[in-house]
Amino acid sequence: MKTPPPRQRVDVEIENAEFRTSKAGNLMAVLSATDQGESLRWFGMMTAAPTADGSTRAAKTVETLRAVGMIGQDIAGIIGQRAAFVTEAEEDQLTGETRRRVAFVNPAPKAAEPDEVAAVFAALGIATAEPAPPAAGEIPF
Amino acid sequence: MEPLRIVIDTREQTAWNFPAELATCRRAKLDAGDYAIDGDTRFAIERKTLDDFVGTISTGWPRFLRELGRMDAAGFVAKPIIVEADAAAIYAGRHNHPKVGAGFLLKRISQLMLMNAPVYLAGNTAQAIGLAWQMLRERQKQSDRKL
Repeated sequence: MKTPPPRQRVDVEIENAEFRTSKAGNLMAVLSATDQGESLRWFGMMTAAPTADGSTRAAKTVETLRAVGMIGQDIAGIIGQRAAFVTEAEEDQLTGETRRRVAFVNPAPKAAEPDEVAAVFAALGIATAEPAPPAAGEIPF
Repeated sequence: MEPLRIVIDTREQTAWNFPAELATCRRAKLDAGDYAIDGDTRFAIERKTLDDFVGTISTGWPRFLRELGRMDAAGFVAKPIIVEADAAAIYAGRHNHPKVGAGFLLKRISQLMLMNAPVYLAGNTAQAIGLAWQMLRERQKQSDRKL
């Protein structure tokens, strides 16, 4: 098996999103995706355990879910959304194999709207096929 | 105006959409960076969302330093990093790394500047595209003058 890079960002489509109960009885959110044929999963605990910044694991998990498109408590609504999974190489304690663990989930980078791009180039004095009025004062260069 | 010939690294999945009349783009594996002029092995732009950037300069810092070292060894003239966010997002902490504060981010941005890896806070994706295109155009002009 090819050794994964120590840290990697992969843009994926979320194939499944659900709340599950862990073996220890804790509620958690699970996001699943596939990259290069490998199944990747992110687990977000929904517990009241405190985080370093004074928040809770549950609040952080919900923050992540909202960042990738969850509206209300409809976690299934995330299915089909794109997201960036940040993976870290981790050695499996049982098999000794190095595999990818999803450390963070971020919103996927988005393509810019063509009219926004056209407005930027218009501000640079370059006309493009997408006519758009330059947004005066909004372009910093 | 002759369109720039830009190479986009194959790992960029949602690539910058340059206007077709200003750039023709193809995909290829770049040794460093995400966007370069076709055939240029000494200049490339690294594209980052704010979340990517914060991750890179915190937990990903040792790996990133190694990458910058490889670029220096390859004779890169500059290693610009374009972040699709503005300074206000840094101060407000609008990213998914709550332990990383604005002061730490500014420290890393300063360290990167001293390593010839300036960080540009482009504001948003569209403005990042404009800045990247201009950088690549100037690099193309510089290369043309040397021929």
